[in-house]
Amino acid sequence: MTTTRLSAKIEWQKTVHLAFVATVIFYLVCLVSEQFIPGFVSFYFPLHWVLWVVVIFALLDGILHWGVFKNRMKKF
Amino acid sequence: MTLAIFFRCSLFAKSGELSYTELAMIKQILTSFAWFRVLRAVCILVPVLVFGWLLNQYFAFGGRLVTHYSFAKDLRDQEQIISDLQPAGRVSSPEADLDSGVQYRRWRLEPIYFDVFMPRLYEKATVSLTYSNPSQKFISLGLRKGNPEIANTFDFQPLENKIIDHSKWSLLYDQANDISFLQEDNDFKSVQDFFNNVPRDKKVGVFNVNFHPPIILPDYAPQPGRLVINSTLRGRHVFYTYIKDEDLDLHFTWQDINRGFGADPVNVEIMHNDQLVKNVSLADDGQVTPSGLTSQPTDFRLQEADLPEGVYTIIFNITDDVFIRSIDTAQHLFVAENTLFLAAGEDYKQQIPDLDLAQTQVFSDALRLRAQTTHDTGLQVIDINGQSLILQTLGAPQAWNSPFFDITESAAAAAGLARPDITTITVPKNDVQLFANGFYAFTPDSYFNPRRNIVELTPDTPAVDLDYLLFSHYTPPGKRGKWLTTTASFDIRADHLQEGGRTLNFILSAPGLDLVDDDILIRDVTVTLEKKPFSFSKLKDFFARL
Repeated sequence: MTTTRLSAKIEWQKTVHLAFVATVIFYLVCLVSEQFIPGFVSFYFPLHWVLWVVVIFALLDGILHWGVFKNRMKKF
Repeated sequence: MTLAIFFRCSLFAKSGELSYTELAMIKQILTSFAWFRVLRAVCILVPVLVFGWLLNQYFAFGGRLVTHYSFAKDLRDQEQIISDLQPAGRVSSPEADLDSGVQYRRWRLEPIYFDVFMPRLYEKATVSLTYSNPSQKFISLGLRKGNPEIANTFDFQPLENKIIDHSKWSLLYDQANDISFLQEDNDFKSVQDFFNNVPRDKKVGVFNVNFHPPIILPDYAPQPGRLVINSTLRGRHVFYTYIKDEDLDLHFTWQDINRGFGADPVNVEIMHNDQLVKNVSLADDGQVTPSGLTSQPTDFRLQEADLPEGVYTIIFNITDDVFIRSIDTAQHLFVAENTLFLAAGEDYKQQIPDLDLAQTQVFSDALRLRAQTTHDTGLQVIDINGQSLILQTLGAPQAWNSPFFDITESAAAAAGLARPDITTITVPKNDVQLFANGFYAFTPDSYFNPRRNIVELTPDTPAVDLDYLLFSHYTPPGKRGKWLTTTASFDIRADHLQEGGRTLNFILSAPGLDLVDDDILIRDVTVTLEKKPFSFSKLKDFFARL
């Protein structure tokens, strides 16, 4: 893998990971808000929509980090 | 830098060929750090902006929250600020217009209800309705007030009145009081001129305006003896009587059957010319649970001397748990208005063993009547001037229309027909609610019309030869193709708040909808909630109070 491609992949990994973390935080904040104020989120969109976005980013994050995970497992 | 690369790439793309260098440039764009920074900013900004939008929807910093009734959400069964239109059997599932794709629901039976949940407290609610209505004369929107277990009362606002919309009479407008006046001939120069000289021999149609000029019966004289009404009545009733040179003397007996939750106090208001004359409140029997234990008969005598001549309104503000067992009055003119709940039915016999189940006969000036029962033992055939009104469905009002309902008095006279003034209604098994735009008397001699020449325009008002028409706070709906758009605004008060203090219950009413062939198509319901906008001074005051 060339240096350019490698650095691009790392950037994608960072970006997708950030998106994953941001949506998880957003989901948790929405979940807590909904508990305290029923309808705060669910009047406008179902909360499980956010969960689906979290799942999609989690999968993407997992795919992009699969190599890293595999290497760590080998070392382990 | 990135923009420059983009610009150059687009130039190359126009030439139709992409060289290796150009492809490398595209790759450079996709891998450039600037783009990743933008992407990461978006990843953070999108949730922040969405959450900010949710906060604004909740707090309504600008003071307005606009919500549309969603047909799509209906199908997904998602929570909504504007609830589904209920009951489900009275409106169709969402349908779509084949040409335009516009979604709507067919409104088949009335009334229908919807709730608006307010995320926070608001001061004003404006409901905008887009609909198609080929033939229904009246549509109105109401906001429930008070406890629905005590009384089903609403503040109504008109949405459409085809009589006014189609009138070609000349219009006078009193801007100060927002009162409009329609007259066929130019008898009056201003609305005030009309108020100062209300003609007693002309019929005045009133719509959405509180117009109760003092009524004087010139031939009235007090009579000896008492009027005794032994028909058992259930729940809230409004009576009218006439007093001249005599005391108001009303003796009534009631019982509390304790079928519902909550206290059942008895409150009686006496009104004269829209002024409160006397208010009596009698405490509950102490049973606040639905125990089914019936209280002992309790009686009260209401007497008031030195009253000026005129019509008096007696309002029994009571829950449906309270049965008025008898009324005994010195007044010989005594009628009930609009709603009558004849309760001496088999279903209550167990709780009130001395209930007299004999048939009840009442006399009414109504030419359209609805009757409803909620118990099997109340299913029956009601006789109205020899015509049958069959009650065979529980909880569904059945309508009776006089053959004269659509014929004005002048048209009937021209055709040589005599429109009856009084209709005799015989209810064999009782346990029936009667609804009409009119008055009921328990003996033919005790009937009188407390409104005289003032005719309240409702869907149940028969065809009438009007001379004038008075209305207020009404703007005809705007028309676009077959769709009409109209709005009604309500100032929200504490007694409007239902279910936890954040819900508004609305009723859409189009009485007689079941009697016309065309359904009303509801295309859109938009609710705008308003309050004072957010201000830092308010925030400062809030913290100062802490």
